[in-house]
Amino acid sequence: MTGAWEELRRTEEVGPLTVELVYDTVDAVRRFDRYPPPEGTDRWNETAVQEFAHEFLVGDGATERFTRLVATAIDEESFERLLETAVRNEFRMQARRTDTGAALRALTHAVEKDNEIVLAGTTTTTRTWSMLGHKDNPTYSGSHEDLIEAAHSVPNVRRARWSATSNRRAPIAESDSLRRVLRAILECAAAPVAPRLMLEVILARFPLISGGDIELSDEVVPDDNHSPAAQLLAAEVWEQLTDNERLVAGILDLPIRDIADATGLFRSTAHRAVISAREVLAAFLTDLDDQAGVVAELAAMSASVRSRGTDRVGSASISQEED
Amino acid sequence: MPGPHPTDRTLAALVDGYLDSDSAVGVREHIADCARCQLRIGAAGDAVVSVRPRDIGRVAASFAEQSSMPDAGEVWRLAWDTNVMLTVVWRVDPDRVAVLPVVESVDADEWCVFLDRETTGGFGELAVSVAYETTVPWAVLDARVAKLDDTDALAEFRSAFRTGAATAARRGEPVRSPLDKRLVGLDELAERLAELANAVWSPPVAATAATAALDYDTLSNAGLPPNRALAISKRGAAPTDEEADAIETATGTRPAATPIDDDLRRKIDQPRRKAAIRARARLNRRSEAAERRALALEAQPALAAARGTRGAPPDFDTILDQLLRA
Repeated sequence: MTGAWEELRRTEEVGPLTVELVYDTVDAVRRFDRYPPPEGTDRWNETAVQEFAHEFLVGDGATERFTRLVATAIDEESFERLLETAVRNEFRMQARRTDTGAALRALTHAVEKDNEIVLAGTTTTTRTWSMLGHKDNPTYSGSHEDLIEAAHSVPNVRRARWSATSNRRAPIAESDSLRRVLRAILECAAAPVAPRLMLEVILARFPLISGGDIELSDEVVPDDNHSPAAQLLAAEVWEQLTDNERLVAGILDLPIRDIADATGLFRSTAHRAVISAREVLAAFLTDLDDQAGVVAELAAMSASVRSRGTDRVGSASISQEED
Repeated sequence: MPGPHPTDRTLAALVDGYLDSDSAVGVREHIADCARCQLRIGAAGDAVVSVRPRDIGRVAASFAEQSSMPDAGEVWRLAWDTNVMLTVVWRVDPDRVAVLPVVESVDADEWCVFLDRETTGGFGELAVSVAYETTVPWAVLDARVAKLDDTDALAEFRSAFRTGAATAARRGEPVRSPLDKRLVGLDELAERLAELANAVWSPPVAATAATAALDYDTLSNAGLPPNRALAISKRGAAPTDEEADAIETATGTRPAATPIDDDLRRKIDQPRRKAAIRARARLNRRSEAAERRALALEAQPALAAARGTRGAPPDFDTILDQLLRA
């Protein structure tokens, strides 16, 4: 047999040639379109490629999909092209259902609103974003780490405040912050950058968030040996907290009465601060490997603020009183 | 642009060094002139090596294919050179066929209706666009691959598109942003449809420009052998594509396309001859349009001969069948 198309037409079922072609195509498409690894994994490996390919091969509607592909193709070459399109569309369909897909759409929306950023290319494979002054340069092919570093170097970046119980996904960051980060990345690249690469950089800068409460267990104790990543992330979370939230951040597991006593806040204010601090932490910490390390860092910083007294923080807390 | 882009699978094979040397040369030549492929190569991530196929059980893929005459409500494959597409035939005219393209579900916009799997003849859920309704020449009709069991939903949706009437049909989401990725797929669809719609290999006789005067000396100087130069100068034969190239090179003017009898053209464009013509085109390394012209030119002498048969109409079917069997 000459290939997968003939195999499907002759045997009327998926055989080894087709399976091999699907494996190769899935691997090539995810590789060139730079799709992130499936949720729950940190990189693409044989198992991840196989699982995606198997869903394509035997998942819902697979029989009809292959019938359609075989009917549309006129030879092996056209079948391979059609299959590649179908695999790419399957990636797109799955991306739509994931936080990563939502993040790319949010990025696209942010770029669309920014007049300083130039869009080029008309297809998924040629589209790029660049700052006006760099639009004519060759497409960026340098190190990702440089761009990630540039993204981290932007000061006063604030993640959007978001309710963990909201039905909608959390924004990546407040719009002004996101705009500044995007511009910093593009300035650092000094060249047009493909959206998928931008997404990778943004996801490295703002790890994906997906609502839900975070449990603070008794096992979380202050520890001086936290990883540098935990310290960095804790510092970032700290930036997002209001003064009252900083006061309560290390003692969220205590009863409100005790928190009020420890911080000098009114109980209602302490309650609101606890609720909102939990939301911020949930947004940042869900799915983190070193959750305990970050929380412990925050607890230490919070304790430090409380031990310094409430001169500065206390005045802020008073200004935030609503009742 | 040198030919179609290599697939990602081919690019991956090139990057990883396991593409055979002959293919690699062609792909490298393409990449050298193609910014799109250069961009993709630059975007390549790491390969996952040695994934071995596993037994995945039985997944059927079966359909019946016919190359008879088209009828409304049938799903037809259109093909022209490397361009292929599934469409629903909506109306059949003597020279052209109105079709509604099948759209990838992921690209479906608000003017795509989703036909449920019970009505699509084993093809699963199909998204069909009424906004991209196009008429295409018969020459692109390749094969009937299914027939819709029910076209009422499609008719009602098409009517809603044209009149602005309300419709309860299940449709895609509207496009709200110029950066919506679906626009990429829909733009490509429009381009491919335009290519199919313009796949006219021979204009109707009435629209063909008069052949410029070509005398014997001019044709001889262009390098044509004496018998061909004489035949063409006396209007006893039409220049082939190769001869037209030679004449254009020598004189700077390409001879007008040879008028093809409308009846002959329609016979050539019947779907049942499509596969044989495409096979000949591959064999002769010609485009489908060039192959059809060549076939028509080969059939023309038979037409001339038939004129001497007491006015009986030439049997094009027999002539073409013999030529395509040869």
